[in-house]
Amino acid sequence: MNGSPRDLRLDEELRHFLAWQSSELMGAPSTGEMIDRVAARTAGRRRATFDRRLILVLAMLAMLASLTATAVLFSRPPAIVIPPRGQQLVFVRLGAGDDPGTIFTRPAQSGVERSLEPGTMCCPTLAHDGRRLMVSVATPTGQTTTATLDTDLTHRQTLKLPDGTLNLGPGAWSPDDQRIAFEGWDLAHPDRNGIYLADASDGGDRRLLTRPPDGYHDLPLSFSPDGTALLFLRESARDRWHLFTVQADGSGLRQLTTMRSAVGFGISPATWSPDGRQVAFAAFEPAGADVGRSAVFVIDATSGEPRRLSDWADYITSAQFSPDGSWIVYDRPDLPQGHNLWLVQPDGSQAHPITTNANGGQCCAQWSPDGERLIFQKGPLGSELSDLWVINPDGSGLSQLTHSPATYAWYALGSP
Amino acid sequence: MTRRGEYPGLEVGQATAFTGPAADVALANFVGEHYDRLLRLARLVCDDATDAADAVQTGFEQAWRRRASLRDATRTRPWLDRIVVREAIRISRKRRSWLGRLTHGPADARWIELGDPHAEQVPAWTALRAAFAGLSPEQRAVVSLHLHAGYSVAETATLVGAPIETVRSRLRLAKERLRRELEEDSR
Repeated sequence: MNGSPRDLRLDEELRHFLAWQSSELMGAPSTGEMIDRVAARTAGRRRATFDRRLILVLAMLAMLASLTATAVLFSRPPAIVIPPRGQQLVFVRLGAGDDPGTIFTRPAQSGVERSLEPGTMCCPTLAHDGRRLMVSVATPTGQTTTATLDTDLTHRQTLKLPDGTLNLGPGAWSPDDQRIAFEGWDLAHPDRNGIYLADASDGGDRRLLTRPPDGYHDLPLSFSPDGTALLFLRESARDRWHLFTVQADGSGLRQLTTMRSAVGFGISPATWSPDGRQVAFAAFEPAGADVGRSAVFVIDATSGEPRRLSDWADYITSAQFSPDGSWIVYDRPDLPQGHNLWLVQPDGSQAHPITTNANGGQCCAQWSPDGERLIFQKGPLGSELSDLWVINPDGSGLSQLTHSPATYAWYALGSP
Repeated sequence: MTRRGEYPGLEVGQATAFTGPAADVALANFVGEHYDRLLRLARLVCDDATDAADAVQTGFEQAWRRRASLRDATRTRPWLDRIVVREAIRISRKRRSWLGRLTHGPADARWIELGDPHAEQVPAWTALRAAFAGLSPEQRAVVSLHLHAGYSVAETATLVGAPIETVRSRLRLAKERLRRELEEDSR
C-alpha cells in the first residue's frame, strides 16, 4: 500500500500519531488486574447478574418482527426496471466518511444510476461476455463468498461455501465464463489459502490450484485466452507483488517477474495479449529513495523476458492490451503536470498521447469489450477526486460519463 | 494470584498440561507478555481505553480457551492480534449503534497529558485524532494493523478476514479522509 511521496509523508505522520494515540490508556486496568479478570473468567466464574440488555434485545426483536410483518403485508410491488440500450456502465464509487464503496450501474451514455445496498458487496470483476459480474459478499457467519449477477445488478446467485472456515472471494473468469478462479483463504487453517477453481454456477468441481507461502493470499488476475493458464499476483516480500502463472490443472507454477520493482495494483494490474504469448503490466518502486519510479513492460509468458516499453516516470499505474492486441494503453505524467493516456504498440513503437492534461489529469484506462472505446478517470489537478470519462482510441469522442466527483475504485463498460 | 515473571520457566504452550496453580502461572505469563501490546492495538481500534480493555479481556479469554488450536507457536502474535482486533471492532460497532448508545453511554473523556514528549505536536494531532475517531472501526483496524503494528496489506487482510482489495480500499479511503480533514484543519 504505497503511494506518492505525499502518501509516504502521511504514512510517517500517521505512524507517529498512532504510537502516541495508542498510549492514551487512562481507565484501562493494570496488568495485574487484567490477569485477575481473565483468570476469574476462564475459571468459569460467571457473573450472575440480571442482564437488562437481554430484555432490551428481546423487545427489539419482537418489534422488528412486527415491523417486518407490516412491511410484507403493505409493501409496494418492485420498481419497474427500464431496459438499458447500448453499453452498460458499472462502477464502484467510494463516498465520504465510512462508505466502503457502492456498486452502481446505468446505461453508459445517460440514465438513472441504480446501486446495491452500500457496503454490501465489493471488488467486482466483469465476465468476458460483458453481461455478468462477480462480487464479494459477506455471509451471516462472517465469512466472505462470491456472488454473480447481471450488469444491471439483477439475477444474483450467491456461492455456497463448502464449510465454516474457507472464504472464497472474487477472482478471474475462465474464457467461456463457466469457471471462476477464486481468492481462497482460511483463517483457522492458513495452509488452505490459495487459488481455487470451481464452476461459476454452483461452485462445484472445486480444485486448489496454488498454495502461497506463509499463509499469504494469491490474487487471481485473468486466464490466458485459451484458458490453459492463470495469471496471478503473489507477495514475495513486504508489499512487493510479482506475477506468476499456473496451469489450469494446478501444474507448472512459474514466477514471471523477478525484477526488484513491484507490479502495479491498478484496476487491471496485468493483461494477456490476445494470442496468450505476452503479458503487459506496469511496475513501480514501492518504497525507498526511488519510490514511485515506474514503467510499462511486456513480458514473454513462456521465457519470462521483460521488455520496457516506456520511459521511467512517476506512478505509471496500469498497462492494458487492447482486445485485438494492436495497442497497449497506459498513463504517464507529462509537462506541465498531470497524467495523460498514451497508446503504444506491443513492440514499443508509435507511442503517443491521446489526451491533453491542460484541464486535469487522467489515468487507469480500461478498454471496452469491443475495443472501440476507453473508459478512464479524469480530475482537476491537485484534487484526488475524479469523474469517469470515455474516449475513442484515436483521441476523438471525449465524453464525460459521471458528474459526481469521487474516488472510482473500479469501472467497466459491459453489455446490458 | 501469581504475577508474570515469578515462574519464568513456564511457557504458554506448556499450560495445556497443567491445572491448578501451574495453569494460573502460565495464564499470568500469557497475559503479562501480550497485554501492553494488545491494549495499545485495541485502543486504536476502539478509540476508548475502557472498551479496549474489554476487548483485550474477551480476547484473552477466547485465546486461552482455544490455545490448543494454535499449532504453530511462532504465530502467537498474529493469532492474538486477530482475535483482539476483531473483538475490538465488534465492541466499537456496538458502541456506534443506537442500541449501544442506549446501553453503554458515551465513551470516556479524553485527556492530553501536559508532560507528553510529543506535546509540541499535540495541536496538529488533535485534529488528526478527531479525524481518526471519525473513521469506521474497520478502517481504524486496518490502519492500525498496517501502519502501527507493521503488518503487510496481505497479512492485514488475513487478520481482519477480508479480501485484500477490501483492505486496500479501506486503507485508501481512511487515508484520503485523514488527509482531507488535516488539510481543511490547516487552512
